[in-house]
Amino acid sequence: MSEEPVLRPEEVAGVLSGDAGNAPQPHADGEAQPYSLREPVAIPAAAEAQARGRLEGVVAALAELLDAEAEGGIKVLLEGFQQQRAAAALSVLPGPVWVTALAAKRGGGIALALQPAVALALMDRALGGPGDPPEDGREPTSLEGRVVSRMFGAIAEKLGAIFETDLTPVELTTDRIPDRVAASGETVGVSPLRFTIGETDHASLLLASASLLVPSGDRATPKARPVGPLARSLENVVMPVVPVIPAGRVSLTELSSLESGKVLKFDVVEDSMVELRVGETVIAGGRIRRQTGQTVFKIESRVGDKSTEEPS
Amino acid sequence: MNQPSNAFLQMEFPAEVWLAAEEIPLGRLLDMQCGDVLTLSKEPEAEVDLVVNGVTVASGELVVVDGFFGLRIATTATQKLAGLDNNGGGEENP
Repeated sequence: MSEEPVLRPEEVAGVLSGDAGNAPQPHADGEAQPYSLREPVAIPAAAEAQARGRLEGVVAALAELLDAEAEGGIKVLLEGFQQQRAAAALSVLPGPVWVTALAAKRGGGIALALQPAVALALMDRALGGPGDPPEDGREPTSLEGRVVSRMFGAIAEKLGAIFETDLTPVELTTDRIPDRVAASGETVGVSPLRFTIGETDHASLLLASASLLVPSGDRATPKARPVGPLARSLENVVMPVVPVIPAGRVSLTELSSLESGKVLKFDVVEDSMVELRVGETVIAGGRIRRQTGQTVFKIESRVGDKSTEEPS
Repeated sequence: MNQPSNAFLQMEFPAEVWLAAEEIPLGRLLDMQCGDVLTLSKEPEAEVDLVVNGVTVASGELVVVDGFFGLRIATTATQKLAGLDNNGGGEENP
């Protein structure tokens, strides 16, 4: 565990004085979101028990933290496990939901979605109060965000040992999972949590990306296929292939106004078919996916194979 | 360059987004079946190229806007060429 104090004196003073700070801004409609192509159904049924076991390890570390910071005044219990789209996972909690998270360097991470009452109670207990905050249902101040992130970050090392990777704290967000942890369309492992503060129960969620919950396995090696009499030589000829998204047509007006930071929108829906090309020749169609922590091109049709080609 | 007329400005060109380039043995390509996967060395979140009529005009980050693909421009070809000039130039496009 980090030697750094969870709360610094100036932060304690700020929390007590109700420093408003700058609350995080929610996403607006039409805003460009970083694109991430990740496997929609990511955790095989056979691996769900292992995934749940890892989240139980997170809850155990969390309970230890609560014992230390809240002196037993707050209890936490894990209540099940399921897979869900990241964008929909938080909808079961009344907003605003404070989301504190830890991200892995290789992508993915863990997020703890708290109702403000739980986060404020935790801070109140850590400050020596009764754990009974006078207000609820509001967005965090920037200072409160930093304090909650640092509290969760205090167990980053312990959680890193569970997931066999380095985890670093991510800035607290409201009502959404940070992009570094999971893309909106990505399926994540979700465990409902029950926090008990005094006599009152509060629902929360613990989420983790599939890349952390399921370790990458061995990949099957495809069988080689002979290529005529020169098979041995030809099979080893390396071909440059490129996955290409046909992005429709753009006008000269759009092209002439391109500049850094500008977003050029295409008439191609998200998760459309991607072409696999060798030079200018399309050899296959498919989609880019995240699979056991790696980015892959998954083939859905082969050019020349009439049973799988999409009608043009 | 002279200011183009409205007729020119309305001209449209086929655009493509080029993701990670990979080098794969021919034997493996011939053996590919539906459902097979090719591991890519580059994350889709990394910088990709915007290619118009076969010419790379910009690079940037692939984004989603209201459910549609988009590209947040990081660098235009003009900026890259300017960078080459500032560094003494001399490189040619393949």
